[in-house]
Amino acid sequence: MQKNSHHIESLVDHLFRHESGKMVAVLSRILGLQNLEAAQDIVQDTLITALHSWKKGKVPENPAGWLHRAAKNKAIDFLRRERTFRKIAPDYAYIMDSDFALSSAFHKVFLEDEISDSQLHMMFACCHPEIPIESQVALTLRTLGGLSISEISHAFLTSEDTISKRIYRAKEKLRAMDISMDVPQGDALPERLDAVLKSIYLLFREGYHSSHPDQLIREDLCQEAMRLCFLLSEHRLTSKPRAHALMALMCFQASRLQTRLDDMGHIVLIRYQDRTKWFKPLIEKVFITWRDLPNHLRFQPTTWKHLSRLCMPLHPLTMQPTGQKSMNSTKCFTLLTQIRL
Amino acid sequence: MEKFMLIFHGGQYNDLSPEEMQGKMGQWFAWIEKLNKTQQYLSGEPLLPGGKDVKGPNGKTVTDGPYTEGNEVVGGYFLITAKDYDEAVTISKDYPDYDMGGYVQVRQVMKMDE
Repeated sequence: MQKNSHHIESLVDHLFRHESGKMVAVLSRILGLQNLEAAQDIVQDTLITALHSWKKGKVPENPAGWLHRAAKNKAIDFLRRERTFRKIAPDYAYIMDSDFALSSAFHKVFLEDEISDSQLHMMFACCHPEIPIESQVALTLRTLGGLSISEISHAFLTSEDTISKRIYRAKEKLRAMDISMDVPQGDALPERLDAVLKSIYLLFREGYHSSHPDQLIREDLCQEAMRLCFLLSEHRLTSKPRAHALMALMCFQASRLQTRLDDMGHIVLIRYQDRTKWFKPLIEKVFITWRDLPNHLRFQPTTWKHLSRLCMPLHPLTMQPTGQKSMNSTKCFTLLTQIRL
Repeated sequence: MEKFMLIFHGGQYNDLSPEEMQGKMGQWFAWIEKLNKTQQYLSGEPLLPGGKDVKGPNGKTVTDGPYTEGNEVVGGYFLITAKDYDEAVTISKDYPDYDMGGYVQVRQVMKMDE
């Protein structure tokens, strides 16, 4: 019995959801984005198998590894069955010729490093500039976040129909444009990275400002946005100041999540929030990251003058700063200095 | 104490989201834990889908199966102890897959005279 409960604890929160996002990204790398649907079916099937065999209390030592193995095998079976009439990702077309190449290719993409690469590739594909922004967010949540259509529609307070249409159209676009799964390099990177970051920020904002009574989904959106941004900020190709900046912004905001609502569920303004309850580890994380960043990735030292200028109210017509110090600028200033302490 | 077998029929997970599946798993764990606490859980196994039917004289006819309706297929069983049918039925009310179209068949295990 003791062994039993130990195993239950080893099933971390959202394991299924996170792993399903990972596995869809990994499988799509080989199957190609035109087979996204098939990748999702294989993953769903894998989770059902896991649920069937684990639910009587016998969870394997390494649940994620178990899932990966099962998904890998199902994908190999799938390709063997469909080998004659399936077009897969061009880079991997060679694996269709031999069984050995087939299994070793899947083995390779399921290595830890490759998994985060695949997720990154998937992020860039989902946030392709050709896809409308609201579809980008939905597609990202579906493929990378492992959320179901109904969970996404709950989070965005819209109908399941709307969300499935958005996702369907986005997938069609991916297929029609023959978008490949890779991280853009060189000149193309900044613009494409901005698109990804924008989509992630929208995701976070949706979670942060949503007035939806279902708290769980709300915080989940924030967490998912932070998880994806963290992947970007850690990866050698995308560890750019703008990725770290977004990460920092979300850490600061998320540290206050617990104090933003009172017992009645009303919003608590920042000056009335109990600052002792702000989640310190997130705040500290930002400063630790800042300290450890290599020089060329670091932010410019904060120029308070510039900052307070940014916080000044804009003239409604000219959209230029009015020159008056606003509540906001003072608040912003005190806030930033206090956080530092 | 008598022994009972709870036989689980049906219960389709196809339309669940990953999160819901994990939640479902949590419910199964909780049920087993509850039975473990009262020391009523003896054993249980899940069954893989698909299988073979062996019938006819000398078991000559072997077919792939069972091809019954999805909600009839046996997906697993528990062996538990309970005072009587009433208690076994009460225990079965915690079965997590009623909302998935599943049902429980409760059968008492026959005691052999020594």
